[in-house]
Amino acid sequence: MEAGALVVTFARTVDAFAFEDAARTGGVPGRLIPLPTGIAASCGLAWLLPAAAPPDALAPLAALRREGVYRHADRRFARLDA
Amino acid sequence: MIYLDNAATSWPKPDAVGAAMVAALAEAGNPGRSAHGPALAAGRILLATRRLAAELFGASPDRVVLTGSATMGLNLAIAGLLSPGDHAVTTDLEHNSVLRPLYAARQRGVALTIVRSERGQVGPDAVAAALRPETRAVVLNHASNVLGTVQPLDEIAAVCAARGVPLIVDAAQTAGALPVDLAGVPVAALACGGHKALHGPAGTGLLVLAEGVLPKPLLVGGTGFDSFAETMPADLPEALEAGTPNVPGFAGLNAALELHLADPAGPPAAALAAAARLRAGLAGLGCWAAPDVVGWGVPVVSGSVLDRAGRVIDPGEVADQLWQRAGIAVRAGYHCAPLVHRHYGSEATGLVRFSPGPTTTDAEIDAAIATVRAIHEAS
Repeated sequence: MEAGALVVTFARTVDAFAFEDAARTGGVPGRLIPLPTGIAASCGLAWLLPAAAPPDALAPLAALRREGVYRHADRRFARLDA
Repeated sequence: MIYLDNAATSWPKPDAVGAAMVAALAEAGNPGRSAHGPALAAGRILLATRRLAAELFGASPDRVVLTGSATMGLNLAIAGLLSPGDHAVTTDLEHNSVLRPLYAARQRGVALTIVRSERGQVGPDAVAAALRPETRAVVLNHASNVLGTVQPLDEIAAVCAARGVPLIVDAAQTAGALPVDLAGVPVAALACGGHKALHGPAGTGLLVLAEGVLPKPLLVGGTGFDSFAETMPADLPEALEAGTPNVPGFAGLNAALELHLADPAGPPAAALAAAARLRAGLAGLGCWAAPDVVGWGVPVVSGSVLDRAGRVIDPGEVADQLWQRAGIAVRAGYHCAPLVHRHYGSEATGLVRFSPGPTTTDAEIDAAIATVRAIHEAS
């Protein structure tokens, strides 16, 4: 995974697919990936937002249920919304 | 064939249902377990199905549990919400999908009151009279699968809500046949199959739960995530969805729901019109004896065919004659609803049940009536 990428995690699988649907509809870049082992989350799917995405790329999806947002750097994930 | 057994399962299914199932078999994997293409395709199918089901019932997609049948949903709700020491209320109009889970609960120490119906309906006053301080569930069908009578759901729900008692509804015969808007009716749990008036495939079902209602799981197992947890997830819908779901089935149900929501009134009205034609035609024969009911409202027509001496012809014999003489498919017997037959006088023999669908033609109905007459005349 590239440095600077964001990972959005979810409590439930249904939330992950709802997020994907809204992202596709809203033109938000990224895709669903298996939850990286460096992150503890309830759902086994996560949304990967490329590092090149605009800083406010997730803003249209702020109302959707999610568990956490992490930034990947140096093989670690730092939680941004804790 | 003249198919008049839609209350058992609808036939024919729309072409789009089968096509969606075949496509899912080719394209869909195990949802929520991986992020490769087939797994994601399966997850998208389930999400789409939940959303359409939520639209159908005026509920939130998060509160739609995908099940294998109405029976499974009812078991989830009944076994998951009742504990020893509780009291439950049901009616004598119920299918065994309600009665047997309640009898099983009774064996675990749940007290049970069975309210007696009158002419095929149970009134809100009768339900209210059965409630106790320890009542934790009222469980009843929206429409009888034998009599075709529709219960006054709004009024019963209001009684339950006023007393703080969860109402569990068996909508097996009404999902897709009658509007059910849970946004306006305080129902704790509603269960239905996907394969009757919704015209989806067998092996699919829906359990819709109100906010704050979370039955204990009946099945526990894999969910695709949180693998080291020793218990099921706390949140719906996954809390009640252990194991790999029937993705091809839900792809078919998704297609069926799309068709239904595009025209929610037309097909049910056609089926009911066919049933009304049949009901009137049989009543005019002079050899048809049907329970005296009020509130008939779904396309189910049950009764007995009498011989020339006025005796009931074995309903199984009638069903076989209908099939052999004219390829007419009906259901005879007790329809898994024993207390209905005990109450309405058909415990000894059962009844013959005709259940037309939206594609049933007037000619098919007339053929059924003529064949019943012929069976009578040959008796």
